[in-house]
Amino acid sequence: MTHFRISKKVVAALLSVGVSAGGLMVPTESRAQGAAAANGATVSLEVKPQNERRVGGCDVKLTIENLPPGKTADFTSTCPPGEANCTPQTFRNLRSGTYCLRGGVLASTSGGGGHSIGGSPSSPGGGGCPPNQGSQNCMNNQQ
Amino acid sequence: MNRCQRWIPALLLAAVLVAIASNAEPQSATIGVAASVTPSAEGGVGTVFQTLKPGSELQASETVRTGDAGQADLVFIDRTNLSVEPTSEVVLDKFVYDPVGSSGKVVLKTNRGAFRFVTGTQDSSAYQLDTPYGTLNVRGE
Repeated sequence: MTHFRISKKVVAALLSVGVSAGGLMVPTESRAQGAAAANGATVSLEVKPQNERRVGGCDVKLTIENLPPGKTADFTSTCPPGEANCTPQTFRNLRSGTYCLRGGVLASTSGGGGHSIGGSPSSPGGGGCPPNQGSQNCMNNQQ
Repeated sequence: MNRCQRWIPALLLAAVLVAIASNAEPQSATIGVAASVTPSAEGGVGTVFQTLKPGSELQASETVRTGDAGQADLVFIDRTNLSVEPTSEVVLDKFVYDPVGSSGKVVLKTNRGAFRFVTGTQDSSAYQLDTPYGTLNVRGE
């Protein structure tokens, strides 16, 4: 009869593989390839702390890159707690570019097709789209 | 033969451990890892925070925050990349990975600081970035 001798090293290796296979939720491959997954949509975001009283600058500075074909981004503003005269706005059809949110108004600072997207149609400096306009070139729809 | 029999209990034990480990339902699922970290950076849920190191596993609902010089590069299981720059804080609020369907959802809640976010393998509409001032989504046209 043929006898197979299994060394302690083999058993230790089996144990090691078994335990790590159960606990490892992230494939090693993902870790290695994650850094190379730079072909997805890329968003760079700078968020000013809400309690910061600094005047000027953006509350949120947003840079969008590498949006997939046929995709755009939406940004829906949030009213600060206790802000009675605030209406949340959704800024639609954002394309690649840099945007600055200040005082609840999102404005393009570069790229993005060069459209002014801030404010409602009636607000000063708005340049927004007529309500419910379906044009894909219009980047601002008030909620 | 006796030699072989001596190993049978060890092999059975190994098999049981493998089965337990592969079927174990973790208390909170790991959704990613810290790929690289510059101190100080820490992660935690609630009030319990631990220093992040390369390889540290990330859980859903975990908050990641960095100090004045801290920086953390996070890689999620759908290959989403998130760089957390100094003096920043983000909550990994929701992570549903659906590699084949369209029910995936990734919600990151940024409180302050600077971030660079690269979407992973899920449909780009699965990703949502929340800020105290508003929410960013990707839509199909």
